[in-house]
Amino acid sequence: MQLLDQYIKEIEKELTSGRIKAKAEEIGTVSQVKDGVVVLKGLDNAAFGEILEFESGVRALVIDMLEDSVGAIVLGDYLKIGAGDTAKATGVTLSVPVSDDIIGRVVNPLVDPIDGGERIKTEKRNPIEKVAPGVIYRKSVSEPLQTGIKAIDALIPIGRGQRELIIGDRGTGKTTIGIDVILNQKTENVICIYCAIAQKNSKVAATVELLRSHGAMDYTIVVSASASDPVTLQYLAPYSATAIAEHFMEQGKDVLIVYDDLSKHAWAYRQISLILRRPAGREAYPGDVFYLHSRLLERASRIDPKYGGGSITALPIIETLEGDNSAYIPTNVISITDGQIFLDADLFNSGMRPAVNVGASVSRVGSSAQTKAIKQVAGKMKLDLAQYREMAAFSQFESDLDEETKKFLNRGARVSQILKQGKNDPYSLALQVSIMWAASNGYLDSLDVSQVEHFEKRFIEDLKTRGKDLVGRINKNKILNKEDEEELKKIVQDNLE
Amino acid sequence: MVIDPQLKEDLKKYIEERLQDSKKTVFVFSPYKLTEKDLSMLHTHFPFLDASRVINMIDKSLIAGIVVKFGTKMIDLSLRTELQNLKQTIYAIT
Repeated sequence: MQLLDQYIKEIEKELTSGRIKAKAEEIGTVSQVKDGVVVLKGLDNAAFGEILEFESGVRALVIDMLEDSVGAIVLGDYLKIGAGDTAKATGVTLSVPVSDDIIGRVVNPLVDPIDGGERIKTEKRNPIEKVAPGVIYRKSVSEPLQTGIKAIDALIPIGRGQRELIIGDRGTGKTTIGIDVILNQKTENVICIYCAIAQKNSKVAATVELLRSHGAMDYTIVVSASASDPVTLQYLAPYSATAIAEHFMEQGKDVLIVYDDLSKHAWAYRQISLILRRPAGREAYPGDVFYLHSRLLERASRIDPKYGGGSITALPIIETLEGDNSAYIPTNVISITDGQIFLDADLFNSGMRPAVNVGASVSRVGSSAQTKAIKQVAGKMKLDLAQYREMAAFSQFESDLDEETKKFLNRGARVSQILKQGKNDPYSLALQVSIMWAASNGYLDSLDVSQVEHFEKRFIEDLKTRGKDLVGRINKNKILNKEDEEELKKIVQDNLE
Repeated sequence: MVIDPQLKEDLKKYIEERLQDSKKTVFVFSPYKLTEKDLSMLHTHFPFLDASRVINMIDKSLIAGIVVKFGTKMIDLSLRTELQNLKQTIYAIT
């Protein structure tokens, strides 16, 4: 009520002052309304990316300018807009409110809460589209982002500020990897953003519940444009998530964004482009679909401490059809990112989970960010696995193999086994290092392959209790020294008996 | 296909004329018909009106005040817009 009084007083003052501000506004008339897109006549002096406001208060974003008409995507309910409605140009570009209070919230791409909570009250706004930091401001990736997934941290390491694509068919565990990485950031001081694009509301709700039950919502923001939201919001979702991330990066913090997934984002953009009658290219995508993703992922960066530090690590997800990663969007995003984690449906079905295809996956910059401890054990493991893959293919044809080959096959089978990992069960650095150390030093060779999993469980339990000090030490020093190895050896041998 | 250059010229002229025309015509919307006095006051406030054709149109939904439209520009001084703004501001605060 107080506010209302204040407002009325304000109006009175305005009226009695007798000074009426006459401001000329740019207006346009709606000539066509299509799925989430309106075409307007007029607006001769509107700018690209400007916000329009309809009489009903609904806003729209100009994304198309032709000789005599303007195309705009409606942010909100486009069914309320009819032909003949007028819209005025506001002279501002699209931005979203950002503040530290967003952490733990579920919001839509315009940062309106969709978790039933209070509106996010803040003065600060970040532009949705922003040019990525230039060369001068950047620093090369050198600090690891621990994913907690053995196969990834050992073989395809990810650094802070990197862009690593997660690619695979439907149902191969892409989202699971993204979520597991978020779960593992609990102790890593990384703010996480999960950007759900065109997903089922039920799935997003389940994901939020999962994050909450693991205590991950304390440092996570979920930005969701669901399958039933206007396609225009789906198109904006990743940019909006990045704008939020930039707010935290500006404070020198490390941020992780999972874009789930960018194929649906490309579909959303394709729909908008086709409605706007832009010329269609390959697979009916418009000509600028590469730029659509490149300008988004370019904003993932690591800022030089001289300019405030901070980083945005991006984990875009792409869904392929029938393992075809040479389709248009997959090849585009593969070439934009700094590497990919390739998930294989066959591996998944054979029980190898996470179904990371180690041969096809690569991290182009992450190795310089790997911790010493992992490097110590993973180098040998990588070699073991590569030899195993090569020999496994040949050994199928031959019955009697020489001892050396048998040894390699034996080792490889066990190393592959320890790369298996349960869902939502991230490993700390020390646990990863310990189990990999045991495998690459041949302690598991005497075990039957089927027993490896059982051993691992016992071993990890033992490490968590008896080896607590050792685990703490490795996690802290991030290096495996002689004494640690001796202690590890003892625990491994105890558990082998 | 060759288009008669004369035809092109004519079309260009026609479009230019129409554009000029729409720019020169100013629509003034008001809830009641403006009197000579009102119009002369408008002319003193908006000097650009002198050089153009002023058409007064009646729109009762404005409640009070006037709206001046010229080309794709509009000067909105109506009570309706004020009220709408108030409504949105209240919505934004609560």
